[in-house]
Amino acid sequence: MSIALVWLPRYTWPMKHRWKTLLGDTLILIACILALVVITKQTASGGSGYVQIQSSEATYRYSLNVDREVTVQGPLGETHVVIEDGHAHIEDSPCPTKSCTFQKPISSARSWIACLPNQVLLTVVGSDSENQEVDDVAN
Amino acid sequence: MSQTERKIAFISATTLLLSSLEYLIPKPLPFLRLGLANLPLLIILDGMAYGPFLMVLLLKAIGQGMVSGTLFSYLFLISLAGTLSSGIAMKGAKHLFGARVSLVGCSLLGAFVSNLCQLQVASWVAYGPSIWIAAPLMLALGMATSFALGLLAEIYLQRGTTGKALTQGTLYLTIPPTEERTPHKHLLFASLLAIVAILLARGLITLAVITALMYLLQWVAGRKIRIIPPVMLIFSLLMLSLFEPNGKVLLSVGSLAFTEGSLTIALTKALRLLSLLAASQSLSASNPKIEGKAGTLLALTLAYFSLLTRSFRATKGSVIERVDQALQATAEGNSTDKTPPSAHKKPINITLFLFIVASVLAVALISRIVY
Repeated sequence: MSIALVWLPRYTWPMKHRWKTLLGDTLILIACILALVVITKQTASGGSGYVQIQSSEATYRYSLNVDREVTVQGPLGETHVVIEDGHAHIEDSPCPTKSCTFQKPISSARSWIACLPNQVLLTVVGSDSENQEVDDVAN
Repeated sequence: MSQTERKIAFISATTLLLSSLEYLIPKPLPFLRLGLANLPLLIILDGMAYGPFLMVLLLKAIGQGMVSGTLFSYLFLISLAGTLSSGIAMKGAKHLFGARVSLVGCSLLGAFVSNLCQLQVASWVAYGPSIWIAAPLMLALGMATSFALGLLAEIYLQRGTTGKALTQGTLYLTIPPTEERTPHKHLLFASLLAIVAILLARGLITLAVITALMYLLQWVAGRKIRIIPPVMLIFSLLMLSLFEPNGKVLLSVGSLAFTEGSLTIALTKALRLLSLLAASQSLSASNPKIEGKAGTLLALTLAYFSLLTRSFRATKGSVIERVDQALQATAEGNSTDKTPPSAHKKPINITLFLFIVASVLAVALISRIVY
């Protein structure tokens, strides 16, 4: 920056003029770099990850950012998965105990919910690992 | 027409010349832009009041839209946001800091603000919030190129003659011969209908058919068809779809996966945007006329631009010398050829044009019934 400004005014600018713009230019440069750092950090930590749903037939992936209901087919019937407020849980499943429906909604990376009888597995993929919480997994 | 108005049109025309020159420069990355068109804006930053400066910004954006035929598409909104925000930011910085900021600082700030606004508008009108993934790279590249551009502006202001004459108000501008283009009302109306049809259409296959028809329409309208921009648009939308998984996984690498739903959404979006771009091209071919003072200024800008381009082609030397010569020749009215360019283009086949629009409309309506 300063090299450029010293080199530039060689043509006509008087010595005094040369340093005058340094303050304003440096302020702008610093402001831009700060903004760039903030935006880069935000985009890196943004995106609350995806939930991956594995069934006996196929694998599905959905963004946790968008609320929706997903139905997947298992050997016993249809399992209903609900994604809301960045969390995913099993709403209903044709398994005998329904224990999977009582599990806490998951949102952080590597947390999971399984419905073993209907062969459905929910895992959260690629979320920000900093604020990982250990989900209680009771079965 | 007053000297200020001529000056506004002349400067806007210079930005148009530079943005078409930028196309000629080979670039390592397709989205990397030097922003040469902002050079005149930087040069006049100090010597022009807010009102005329704002007018130059508007004429630059609208003129670029008319020359490239994207005026009636989402691309115009993105470009307008970038031009207006960067212009106001640069002018504001110069106003606030005065002699304490150089054109390098103004250029840096302008490019940064412009990129931010373009990303925001792009996320609203076309790409969705996942476009912000590209923000760090775009902003960093923008800082590098705008730094170089600011230096270039300072150097030009020292060395070039026209820039100085413009800021000091010693340049007397002559009025160029203006081209008279007859507007086609049928084509205008038909193109607008096509836009409605594109917005109504449903389903991927429908949109694929409509895109093909719209490109045919653009060709019939006598507008050049470019290959790289649509390929880039499809590619970038497909890449962004990686970050918004939706549905059955087709292919996955680590935490990224192509999913059925998001691929369909991305392709549908890409085809709809491409069709709208082609519609904008066809609409431009109908020579829509803008009334009033703004219309006269725009016509004057385009006339200067056409003269500048022809003068530029006639000159020799380095690019900077040629630009300077072209500016001089156009300003003084000494350009080698004075006759307005006659429209050599072959006339548009109106029947075929209307038939294609009718087909697009039919396909769109059928898709509404089927889906």
